[in-house]
Amino acid sequence: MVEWTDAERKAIASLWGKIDVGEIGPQALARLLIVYPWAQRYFKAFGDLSTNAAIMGNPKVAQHGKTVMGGLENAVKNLDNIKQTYAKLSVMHSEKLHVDPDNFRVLAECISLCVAAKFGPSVFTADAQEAWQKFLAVVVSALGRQYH
Amino acid sequence: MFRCIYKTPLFAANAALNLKKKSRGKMSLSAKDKETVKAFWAKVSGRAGDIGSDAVARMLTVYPQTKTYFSHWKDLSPGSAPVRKHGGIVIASITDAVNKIDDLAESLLTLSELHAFTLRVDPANFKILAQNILVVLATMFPVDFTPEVHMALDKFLGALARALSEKYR
Repeated sequence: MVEWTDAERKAIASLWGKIDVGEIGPQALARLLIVYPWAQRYFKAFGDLSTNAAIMGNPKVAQHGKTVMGGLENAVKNLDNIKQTYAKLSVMHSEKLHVDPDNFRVLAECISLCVAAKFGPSVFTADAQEAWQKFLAVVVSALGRQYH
Repeated sequence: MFRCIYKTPLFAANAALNLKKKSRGKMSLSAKDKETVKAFWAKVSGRAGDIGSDAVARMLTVYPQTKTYFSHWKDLSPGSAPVRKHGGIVIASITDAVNKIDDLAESLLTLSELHAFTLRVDPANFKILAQNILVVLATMFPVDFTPEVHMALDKFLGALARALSEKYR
C-alpha cells in the first residue's frame, strides 16, 4: 500500500490541476518517440514517423499522447488504489499490446520533463518533483504489475 | 527461385565496412550529437552554478537514498552551502567533459578512479543525477531544451556515466 503524505497529495493535485493533457500529452509522446526511437516499434500504424518534424506534427501521435495523459486522471482520483485501478490496462498492455514495461518508465520521464519545462522552477520545485515522480512511479509500477 | 544475395562477396564486404563504422560502442555520440551538446552548453554555462546546485538539491529530495553518500555534511537542504559547493564541483566537471567530448574515457580516467576506489558511488546513481540535471535544464531553458537537445544530452550524460564507471572493476 503506497503511503502519501498530505504534502504529496496536495502537490499532485495542484500540478494536475494546472496540466493541460492536450498540450503535455502530445509533447511527451513525441519526445519519447524522438529521444528513444526504438519505442516507435509500437506505432507502425501511426503513419509518418520518419523525421522529428514528422513526429511532432503527426496527428495520431498527438491524439494518442492526449489519451495516455488523460488516463492519468484515474490515478489522480484513486491515489490510494492505483494498483487496482490500472489492473485491466496492465493486462491489456501485456497480453494485447505486448509493450515492454520499461517504456512506461521512460515515458514517465518524458512527461516529467515536459511538465518541468512548462511550469519552471518556481512551480516545479524539488518537493513538487518528488511528489510528481513518486506518483508516476506508482502508475508505472501498476501498469507493469500484471505482466507474467 | 531464390537467389541469396547475403553470401555474395560485395554484400559481405559492404556489411563489414558498415559494422566497423558503427560499432564504436553502445550508442556512441555522433558528430551532430557533440555539436548539439556543445552549442547548448555554451548557452547555459553562464548559470552553471545554479544548475549544479539545483540538480544536486533535487537529487537529494527526489531520491532520498542518495543522501547516504553525504552523511558527513552538516546540512543537506536545498540551497545549503555543502549542496551549492558540491553542485559547483559536479557541474564544473561536466563542463570540462563537454570540452573534451571527443575523448571522454581518457579525460575522465582520474575521476573514474576517484569514484571507483575512494568514493565508491554505486554507478546507478549517475543515471539518477543525470535525470535531475535534465529536469533542471528543462525548467531553466524550456525553449532551448528541444527534443533534439534532450536526446543529445541524454546520450552525452550516459557516455559520461560509462566513462566514470570505467575503473570500477
